[in-house]
Amino acid sequence: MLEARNLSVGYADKTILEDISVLIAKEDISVLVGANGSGKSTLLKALAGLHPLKAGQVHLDGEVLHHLPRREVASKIAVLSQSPQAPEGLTVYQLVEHGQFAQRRFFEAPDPDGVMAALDFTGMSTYAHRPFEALSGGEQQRVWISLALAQKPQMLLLDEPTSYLDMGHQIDVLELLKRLHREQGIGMLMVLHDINHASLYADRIMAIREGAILADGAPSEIVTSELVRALFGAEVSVLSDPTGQHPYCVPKGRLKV
Amino acid sequence: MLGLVRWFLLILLLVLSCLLSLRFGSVGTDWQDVWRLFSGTGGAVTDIIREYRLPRTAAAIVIGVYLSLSGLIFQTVLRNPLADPTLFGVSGGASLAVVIAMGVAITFNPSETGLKAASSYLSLEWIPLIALFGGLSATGLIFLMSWSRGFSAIRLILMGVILASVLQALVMAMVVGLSEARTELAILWLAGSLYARDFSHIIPALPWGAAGLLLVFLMLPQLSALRLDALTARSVGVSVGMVSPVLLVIAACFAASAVSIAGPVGFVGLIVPHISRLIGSYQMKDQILTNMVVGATLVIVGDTVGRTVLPPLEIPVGIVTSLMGAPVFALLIYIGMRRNSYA
Repeated sequence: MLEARNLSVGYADKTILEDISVLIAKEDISVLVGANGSGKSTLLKALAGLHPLKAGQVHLDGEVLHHLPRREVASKIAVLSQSPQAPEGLTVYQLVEHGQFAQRRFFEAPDPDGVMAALDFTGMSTYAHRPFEALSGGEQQRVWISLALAQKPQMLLLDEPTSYLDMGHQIDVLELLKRLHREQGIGMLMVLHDINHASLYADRIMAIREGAILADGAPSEIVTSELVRALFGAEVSVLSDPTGQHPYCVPKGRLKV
Repeated sequence: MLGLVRWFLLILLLVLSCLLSLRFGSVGTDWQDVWRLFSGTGGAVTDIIREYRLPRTAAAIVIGVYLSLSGLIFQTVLRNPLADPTLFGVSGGASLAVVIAMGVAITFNPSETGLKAASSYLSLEWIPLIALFGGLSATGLIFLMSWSRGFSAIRLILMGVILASVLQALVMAMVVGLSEARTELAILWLAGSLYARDFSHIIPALPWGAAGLLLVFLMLPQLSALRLDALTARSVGVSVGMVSPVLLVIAACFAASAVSIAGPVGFVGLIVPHISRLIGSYQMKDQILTNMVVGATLVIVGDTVGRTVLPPLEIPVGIVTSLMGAPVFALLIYIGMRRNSYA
């Protein structure tokens, strides 16, 4: 369980997040949505312990996360940042091995089964010995997810995992994450740009505006045209899908803000 | 399979360059004399090889290994392919300390002239210690100046470049200040030379190196993961803020020991990691081992070339490595562009 208590993040003259308290359950797929610059990525990084805090605390299973060694945090939480960079020249397998860093002790060799299991799950095992740089964007994203999986985390935090991908590959990645959640019980917290993706895949959406949580709940409860107007300044009609669980927003136009 | 062939060739090249460096020099010797060194039978000529060339070859190996390892660590930790350990105060600090010491020695003994003055009052045995002290102080100063609520690669690079240029200016001022007949030894040292190095210069640097090497191998997983972006490195469990300064201190010690033996030998720390990346595998362990072999070979060849092209004149190894290094580096960038990895 990941919990933010009265979290504030910012610099001397600029506040990015203001007094945020939120509980993230490991069982859910939780999604952060918001406009550019709303602070959603910063909140994700702060919850992962990858951003310095101005005030407040993050608790991981009851312990103060910023006091824990990175190794211990990494054995529970894996993070996929927005544009991760791979070392030059490595094969897919060699890259994914780095996910085992936190499990390894001095002089302990990497565990090939763990690496291959992670690659199997994401469907990348046939690419194991290819150079990472030669892969397409969608394939590279699967490799990064494999690296996170090799960490054997309880939770996976992802910052816009679908940006830079075409529509088909966006759905691929989101389906893969959903399967990961269902079959391996890994909790998800991700930042998504597309509110319709959020509505389709999230158990819970947290809408961030100007560094504060504006709305928090199941997609069917909170996705309304009023919310979208408040978040993005866009005018939409909200349609309902046959199950009634995943409202769908169709843009009508941009409001003057 | 390919890996084995590559290793065989690299080691062969290293052994070959060692033999060449024992065989060639300003005094004429032939292969028989080199052979007698190993068979234990030998006369005066073999003694020259044993007394003068063997320690030089050993020094070249040590310097090559230290500088190239240091360069690899700097480039990896600072995520900057241009990082060269000798640029970060090590060379400047060592040079300034040595030149000041020479100046002091000359001031107190004004009667002698030239090389004799400096070398008779400032024993060559003291120079490595003075250089080590100067190099490490300058590096420490850079770390101190760039430390502000933690470690930052870009601050360190900027402070390093700034301090290096200040030190360089001070060294030049000192050299000009020493009267012109007395600058020979200073200039010889500043160019990075293996002239008259014996085992007493090398042995003190070995325990450092062995300890450093052990630490580097212990920290292989960290070093490898640091090649990821900082955010990803931290999220897989590396305490980047703690591990980076530790690795940089180790690297700075490697560089300072190398500089203390030979003076600032340029370009080795910069280009060897790039050569290794082009010929070696990209796994961190392979990169480190390849680096060590290539670095040693390069310095041995540089020193051998330096003392054989214009005998009995000697071109300091630092000048040869820079002269060889610059075109090799340009060629590497060209190859890299064609391979698209430097695009």
